Amino acid sequence: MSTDRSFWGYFAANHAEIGRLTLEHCAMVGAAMALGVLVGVPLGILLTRKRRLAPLILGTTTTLQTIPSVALLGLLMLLPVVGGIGIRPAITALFLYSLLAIVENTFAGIEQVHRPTVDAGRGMGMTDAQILTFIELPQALPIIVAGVRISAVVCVATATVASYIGAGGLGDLIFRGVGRANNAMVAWGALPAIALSLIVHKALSAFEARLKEGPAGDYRRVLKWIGTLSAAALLGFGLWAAGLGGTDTVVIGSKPFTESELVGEMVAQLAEASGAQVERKFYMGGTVCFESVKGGTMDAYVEYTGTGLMSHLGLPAMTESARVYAKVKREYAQRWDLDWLAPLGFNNTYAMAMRRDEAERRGIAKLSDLRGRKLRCGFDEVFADRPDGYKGMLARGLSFCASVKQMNSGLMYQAVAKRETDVIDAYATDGRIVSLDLKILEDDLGFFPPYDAAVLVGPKLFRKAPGLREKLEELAGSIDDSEMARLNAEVDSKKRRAAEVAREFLTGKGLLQRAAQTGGPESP
Amino acid sequence: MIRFEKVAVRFPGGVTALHELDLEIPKGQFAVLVGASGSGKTTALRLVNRLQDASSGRVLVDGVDVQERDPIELRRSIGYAIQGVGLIAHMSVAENVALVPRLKGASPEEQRAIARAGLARVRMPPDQFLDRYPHELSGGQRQRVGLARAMAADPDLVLLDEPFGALDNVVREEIQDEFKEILGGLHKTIVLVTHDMHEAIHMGERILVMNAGRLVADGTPEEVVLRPKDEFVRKLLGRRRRELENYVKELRG
Ligand SMILES: Nc1ncnc2c1ncn2[C@@H]1O[C@H](COP(=O)(O)OP(=O)(O)OP(=O)(O)O)[C@@H](O)[C@H]1O
Ligand SMILES: [Mg+2]
Repeated sequence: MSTDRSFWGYFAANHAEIGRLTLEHCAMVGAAMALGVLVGVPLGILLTRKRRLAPLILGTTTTLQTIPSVALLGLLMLLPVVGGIGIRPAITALFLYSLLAIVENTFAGIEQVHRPTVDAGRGMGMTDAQILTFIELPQALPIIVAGVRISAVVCVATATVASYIGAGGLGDLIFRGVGRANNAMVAWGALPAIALSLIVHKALSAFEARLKEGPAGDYRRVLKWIGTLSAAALLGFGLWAAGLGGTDTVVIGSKPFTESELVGEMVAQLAEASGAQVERKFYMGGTVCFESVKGGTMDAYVEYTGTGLMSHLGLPAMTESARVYAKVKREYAQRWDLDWLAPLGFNNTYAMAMRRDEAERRGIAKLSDLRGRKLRCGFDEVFADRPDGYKGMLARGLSFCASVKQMNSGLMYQAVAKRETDVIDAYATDGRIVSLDLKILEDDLGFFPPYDAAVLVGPKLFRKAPGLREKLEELAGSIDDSEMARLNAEVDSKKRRAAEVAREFLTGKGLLQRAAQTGGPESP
Repeated sequence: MIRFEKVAVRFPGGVTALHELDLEIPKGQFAVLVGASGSGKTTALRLVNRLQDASSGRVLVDGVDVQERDPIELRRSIGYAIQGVGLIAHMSVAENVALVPRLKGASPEEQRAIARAGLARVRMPPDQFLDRYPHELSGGQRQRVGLARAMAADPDLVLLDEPFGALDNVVREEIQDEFKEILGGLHKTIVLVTHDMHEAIHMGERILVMNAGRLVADGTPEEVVLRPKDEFVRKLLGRRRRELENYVKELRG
């Protein structure tokens, strides 16, 4: 089944997943808001009793609010219990964001209660607790509800970002859709989120208006109702979350682009075939994946040796594939007890690409063939200035551009396809190389540092999935550059599901039995 | 019943609201505290139910220092109504009236019965008013509900702080008459605070005139109005002195 790029076509093919992600989104926001109410309202009340705490508590909640969501999620990743990856840190973050408005409005709501009424209540012999529940909370209720409304609306929007740390929800569709330039997918992530915001806003505004309108109705019942509902939401959520992934669940991740998802999907399906329970945490930030495997909250994802060498280890570039691999394998084992399995076979490095017919006409097949040519070059934003880009080539006497146009990578592929430029920089396994029939020039000079893909494995993976090692060893070396580019194109150009493309590949290689139905949620 | 022994109240910031006040109000008396704004009437009243603590001196209710009593229990045994009434806006009239019995643990049926009886006592047809909310009442009706609430637990002592303050003149005199009638029949100790001399004369058996935290006159309406000893009292009577004198004579008449 191919996913449609049209708005309604996408919905028709994926409504089940859209529904599931919407529910996930609601669960995440619901749990965070329940926590926010259960903690924020008492905090607000505390402030009215102990005013000296006001600068401290309001200062803290305000500061929390100013931390950009991605940064807060990043910080939470490093913490135990409330942090890590997945839905828990997401709820923690959303909860922290929800506090400000709830605490502030509870405080302000109680402050504005008519003092003579409180005084009369005290004079009639109400205890502090009775003044709170009989007078202050009921009269502050519309303002408290306004605080909850403001928080909830912010929460629904912010929850989309939580996809970044594998929390699921509608952000998954937005992130994935942006990564694949699939507007229908982005829209079906964004629209339900907008609708949720509007519903929450309208419903709570109506409730507020009803409370302000007049005193009909029993406020204490409303208060009890809100408290009970919050507690129930939290309890229900706790049970649901506890049911998710026991400790034996294998967590497989991917970075936020198609290729990473495809190979992640392969690892996940092989793990399932070996009998393990698998949780997919796809489309997470690159550093999030690395930190998670390091921290033990993820068991494996596919990483590139060049990224490991330069970004994670901070070592200088090296050009020889085997040496880079040996280096990262040794260093990761020593520093973090992580294992690089044997490379999968493809090298997603920079490469120079031309139209196939153009390359043949000019007789260019290798990088060295470019020397001394006068070509129209189209480079992405960074390539011209990088030491491992054109600047480095010039330094090694490899000059071939008569003109250099800088453009974004999408336009760059268009331009070479339309013969507006002759040569571009590309990722060696980009699906567009296949779909536009481009030719990759062989790097006979050993110029580009290698980015060989390999499964990066945490210490617990094979304990949880004992049969998986042999399967992954078989997968190693079985995907070359052009095969990977073809698989990427299946997803990016033909809009097929990554899970389906991965399964087809694995079955073709005999790694999965055709009949064997792998479980787990499908991922488009 | 109520005894003030050298009671002084000094507020932080230097205001002395009461200077060593000595005062005794016997059981069953209807006493009115009258004086200009800021003279310390409210402060004196709030000492009785411990909404205000004395800086020095003692306040006794039924011979017991209020400081030795549990404030919650003390307050529930004293009726209290204030200016603007302090009715709770989100509670029905019935709930407002039966508030103290409810705090004391009365059952819903008892509360309902108390509310009915309370409304009847202040001349409001219960069926018509029980389920209304304060904002659905006139100013006079609100005052009456406030009074009903102060009396609901049948306290021996009732404190009323300017209960007619929010009413216009015509309504005010009507309600004053009614209150006088209602309260007069109950044989309770009542302390009413007002800054209106006319009201004081009209309602009280005994008039206590306060000025700047001191008691400057104390006696029956006749004594205070017809034979004012204090310069301040004369000033308080002011241009209306003649009229008030006639009024007192008429009342006695
Ligand atoms: N909580 C307080 N803090 C500081 N000063 C106060 C406080 N309450 C009252 N005062 C001051 O004590 C004095 C007596 O106040 P009080 O309320 O007893 O006057 P009052 O006779 O009831 O006046 P009014 O007729 O205006 O109600 C006033 O000067 C007032 O400003
Ligand atoms: Mg006063």
